[in-house]
Amino acid sequence: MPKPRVDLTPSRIGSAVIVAAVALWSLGLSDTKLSILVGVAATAIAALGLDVLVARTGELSLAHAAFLGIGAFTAINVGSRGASWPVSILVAMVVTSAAATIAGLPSLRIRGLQVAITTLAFQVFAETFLFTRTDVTAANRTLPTPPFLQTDLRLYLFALAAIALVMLVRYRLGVTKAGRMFLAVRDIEQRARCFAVEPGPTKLLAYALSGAIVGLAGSIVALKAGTIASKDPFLLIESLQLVAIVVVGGAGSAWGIITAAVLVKGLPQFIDSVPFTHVKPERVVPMASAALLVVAVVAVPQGIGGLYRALGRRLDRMLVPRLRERPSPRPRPADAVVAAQHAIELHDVPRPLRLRMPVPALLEAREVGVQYGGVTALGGLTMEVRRGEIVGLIGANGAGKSTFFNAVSGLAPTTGSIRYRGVELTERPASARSALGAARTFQDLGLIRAESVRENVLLAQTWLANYPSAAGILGLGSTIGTERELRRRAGLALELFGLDHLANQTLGDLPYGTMRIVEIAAAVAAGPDLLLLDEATAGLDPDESHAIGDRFLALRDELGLTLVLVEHHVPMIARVCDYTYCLESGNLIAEGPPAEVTNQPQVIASFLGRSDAATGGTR
Amino acid sequence: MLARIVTGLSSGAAYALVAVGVVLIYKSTRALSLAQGEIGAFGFFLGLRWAVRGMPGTGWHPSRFGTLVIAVVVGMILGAVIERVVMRPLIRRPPLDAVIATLGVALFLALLEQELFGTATQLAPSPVGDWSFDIFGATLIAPRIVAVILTAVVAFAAFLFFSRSRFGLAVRATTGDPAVARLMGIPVTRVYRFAWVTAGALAGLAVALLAPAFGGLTPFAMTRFSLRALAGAVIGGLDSIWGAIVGCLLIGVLEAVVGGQFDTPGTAEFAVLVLVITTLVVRPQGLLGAEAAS
Amino acid sequence: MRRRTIVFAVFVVFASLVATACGARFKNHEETGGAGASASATTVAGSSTTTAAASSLPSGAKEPGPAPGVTDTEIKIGYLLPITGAAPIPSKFDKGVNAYWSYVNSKGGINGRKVTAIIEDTQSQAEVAKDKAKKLIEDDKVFTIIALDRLENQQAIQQYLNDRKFPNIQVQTQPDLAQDQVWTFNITIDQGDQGALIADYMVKVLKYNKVGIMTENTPMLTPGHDKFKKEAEKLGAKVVYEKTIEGTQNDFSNEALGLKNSGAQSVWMYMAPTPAASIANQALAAGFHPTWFANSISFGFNLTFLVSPEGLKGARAFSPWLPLDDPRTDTYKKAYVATNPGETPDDLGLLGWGIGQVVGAGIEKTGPKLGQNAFRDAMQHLHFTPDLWAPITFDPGVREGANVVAVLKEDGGKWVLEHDFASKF
Repeated sequence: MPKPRVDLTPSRIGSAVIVAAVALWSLGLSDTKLSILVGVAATAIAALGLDVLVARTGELSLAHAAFLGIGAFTAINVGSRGASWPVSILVAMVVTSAAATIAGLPSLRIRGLQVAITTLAFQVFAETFLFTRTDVTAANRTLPTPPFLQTDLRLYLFALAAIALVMLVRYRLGVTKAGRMFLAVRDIEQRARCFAVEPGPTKLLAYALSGAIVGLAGSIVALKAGTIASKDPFLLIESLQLVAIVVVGGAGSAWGIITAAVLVKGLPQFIDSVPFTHVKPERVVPMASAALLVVAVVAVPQGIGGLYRALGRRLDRMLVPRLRERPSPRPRPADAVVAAQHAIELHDVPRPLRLRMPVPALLEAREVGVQYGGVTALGGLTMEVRRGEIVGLIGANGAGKSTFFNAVSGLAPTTGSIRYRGVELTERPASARSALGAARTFQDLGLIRAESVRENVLLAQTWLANYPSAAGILGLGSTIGTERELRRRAGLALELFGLDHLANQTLGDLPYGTMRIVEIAAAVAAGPDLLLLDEATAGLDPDESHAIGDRFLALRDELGLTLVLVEHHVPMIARVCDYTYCLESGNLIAEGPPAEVTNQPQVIASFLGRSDAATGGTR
Repeated sequence: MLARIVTGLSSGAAYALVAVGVVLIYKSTRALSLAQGEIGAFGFFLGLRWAVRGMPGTGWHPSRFGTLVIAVVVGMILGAVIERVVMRPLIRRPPLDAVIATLGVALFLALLEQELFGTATQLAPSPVGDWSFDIFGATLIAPRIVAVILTAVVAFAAFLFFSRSRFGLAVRATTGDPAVARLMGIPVTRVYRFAWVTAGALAGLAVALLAPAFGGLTPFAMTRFSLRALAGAVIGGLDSIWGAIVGCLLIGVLEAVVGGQFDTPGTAEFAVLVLVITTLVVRPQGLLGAEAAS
Repeated sequence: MRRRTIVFAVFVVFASLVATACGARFKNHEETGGAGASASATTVAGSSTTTAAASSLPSGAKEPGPAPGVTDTEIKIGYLLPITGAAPIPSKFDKGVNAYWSYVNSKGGINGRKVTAIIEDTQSQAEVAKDKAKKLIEDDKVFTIIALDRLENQQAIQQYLNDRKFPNIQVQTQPDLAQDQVWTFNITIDQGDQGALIADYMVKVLKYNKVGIMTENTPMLTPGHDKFKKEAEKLGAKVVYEKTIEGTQNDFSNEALGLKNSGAQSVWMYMAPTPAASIANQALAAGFHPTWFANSISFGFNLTFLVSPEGLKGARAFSPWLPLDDPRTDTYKKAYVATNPGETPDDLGLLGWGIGQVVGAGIEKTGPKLGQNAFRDAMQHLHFTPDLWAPITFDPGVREGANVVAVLKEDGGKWVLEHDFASKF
């Protein structure tokens, strides 16, 4: 999917007014049209459910019409046996959610395209096996209409309420842990584990949520129809149409998708013939939507939603013509005292005692080796990082520095032992290491560029959001309070690094150097004891480099943080580091205080020659 | 039972012809094309229509074999057009975008076929003659046998192509990162076009042989059919031609055997689903695939 | 940001409530519950002159009932047909419909009223069909509705129209027809009974003792399938081949193999024409050629022979209509050409003609005081033999008016009549 800036809140007052007006107008339509709109609403809800998967998690499902069918049939099955309508709907949602989760299980092991194929296989299976069994389709059973939904108008209002509910859920996704986790899985998949996000369960949650939403849509189909005798509305071509609606509407844009649903499903029934011709719209609309699908993917990835956003921005400028000062996208100098206070607050995180005790050696690596296929990226590295030290890790490109970080983070297959505060890391999954107190940054930015600065900093604190993801979506219990606290901490971290004026900016819009600092801020926001920073100064000008060096020293002096810096910038190493390790081709060739190490002939030969430039090598 | 296996193998060979095109496209562009079925079908529809009504403009009525030629040629043209207009702009985008685009193309072509040629089945006489051959109690008609032979030929040709010819090596080296490939001196655009045009030709060929084997050509039929080809390619490992062939043969046989044993409808589809999921879970790179999950 | 959302949400909900409370709907629809459907029908017909006429009847006379779509000079009737979607009817069908009503209108209409047909597309989907039915009733205000679609869709339409107490004519007849749907009139043979009848024909008339059946994977076809099997076995024949297929299947090589090995002499293909032609072709290629059996609307169009000329040689079909060559179709053919100049009448148009005739007969029998109740009563007593459609015999309590079939046989690429309308063999 084109990676959209996932924009879940209604843009502006202007669009809110338009929407309310359209909704009001629609109430004046005839019963026939309202009945049609109920069907359209159900399709829109199903498409919104698919969108959660596609836009948020980047998974393509070609089985959503099958899920719609499962939801509808379940609602009829349960409701016709005497259950009340809330129970029928709830059961339908649960069952559909379960079915979607099962269909999504393969995504635990395989990715992207192949998951699309397995969902395709599921759709075909549902069509040919499930929906031909009368016990599944409740063929001769009728869902009794609840007394308060007897008229078309009321059913329509009910459908509108359901849409509002789904929009609310999508909004919640935008402000809770689950939403960030989905995006992390979509954009940085494996690296998300460094933020305590396990891709597998996260994906399953996304499938489950998507399924629940589609289950609601199915219930509405069932309520409208009463009894469903054929599986036609739930065939593969309907699945494909749902994908078309999501893409043409614009992945991530609820209003765009709703509009697309109205156009594709509602229009053929509203107009008798295509204007100026005698052609029936039913014959044109499917072909047009297929063509639009291709056009949208190729040329207009933002879809109808993109058009709305552009329109909304224009309306905004008309209604609120104050000049917006564009904030300078570089970090501002921060007050040292305030920064220190913030740092102390951020460092105060709940952690078991044994992970807070002062120990001499924070990180001990013994014979750590990493092999990729036949290539030895790291061959038996032994090194130690003492608490309160700033350690420099230098070497030419490909020497294994980032690989070592990957080993510590758990992203590389590692042999040997890495102990952090006595805990053997190699026995822990990558997603658990964030909670232990180690945070890291990536040489090529391990953040979500499509999201805002603040959202990324929140993502880094995922381990602190210790509520169940599902509860977060529903806004239960302590989730709102926890989120508020996390936002406060994010504000502190951004102020600390002089980035608070950029909190709402999309990360990808910022200059490269600023993005890197955001990553550091995010790492600090997680309240770690050990910071592994990969080429922190890349993209920074000399003043900024100097400032960041000061920040490192401050963090160490005031908080006792331990830092390991992979650096090419020799002055930084000389000024800031207490100890230096030099790697070459996966092996340690020198260690010691920086002044010593940088003067050694092998080090000079291997590495110096590129001392000032920040070269981005591939690892 | 043996007859069922033979029948299944012939069906599988037919899937394989389409699957080889899919793999070819995947190997060079990392895009998974769901449109191969309809690309082939469109050309064959045109051929069949012209055989009856004559080509507009010239009034030429292609012979039976001519309909196959038309299918192949139109498939190539469609492949080239789709590559240039739809797929090339998507090269730097995530592969999922390309899949969705091919989905749209397949849908569009199928609906266009419905509009142009009607929803009823078209009679599809065999372009390769009406002879047949009995093996182990199964009667295989000409198109099926030709499909089997052609699959073997294509497999062998692919092997030679990828391992011996320079262009074949170029295709292998085009890992979907055009910048890197260009740096290595590979004519990336030509590779893409080659992949799509060849896949289009294969699709036309496949449909020209399959539709007669299936007793007629209907819009959307080839898309449903190409799902099995896709499943076979995925099982075999999307980047392996041999894998695709083996996978498709497996699916063909599985369907024939399971479908023959059980009366309950849908058991064959269920078996295929189970096979696909199990293979991918146990071996995410597919049976003969080399790389890890994409 | 969050505050705005809440404000927005509250705004919409509040506005909706206000709108409902103030009756902001511009059409004067009363809110009716399901039971009050007849009340709504009366309201809807409020503007028609016939109701005024009806209310001036002497007391004691039977009320004709509401008459929407009826004026002194016109009757509007609605059709629900699958024109697009998964199982469409070839579009020539409506030419026959128009041909019939044009013919009737050219003769002055029925009791002085000309008939206007409004055709709506169900898109082969039950929900769309119901929506279109609603549109025909509430927006177009038709007098009666004729539906021809897949069995499941017809069942949904029937249920809906009966709940609304709206007279409707259904062409196909599903097995286990609900006997309490007094507003519905089915004009072909019950598909469950038809299954048994086919077995009768195969065994008793064609003298086969090894028969087979292939059915599309739809629950509604099961009763017909089962009755066929039971009847065949009762008559001492063997069902040597029995298979359920997917309508969208392409590859029937497996089935062809099984058929050949079974040695069936006659096989009923209970499915849509597309897979049937495909099966016939593939079976032929495998060296198997039984007497294929079809049933009417699924199959019995000459069009199908274009796809499988060799495979379907000697096939038979049960049909509620006569083949195109029968002299009784002459009126149809002439009228068709008159209405559609330059076109050749085909057997698809036959359906439109035949169905039109039945409905026309019902309207005629109702008499000049046309109302829906009177129409229903007239239909319930209709005994009528159309030109080319099965003879209709409705009696009180009988829901399917045509318990007979004609038997067609393939001859030279066309259907010809092998056995005239009969209800048993």
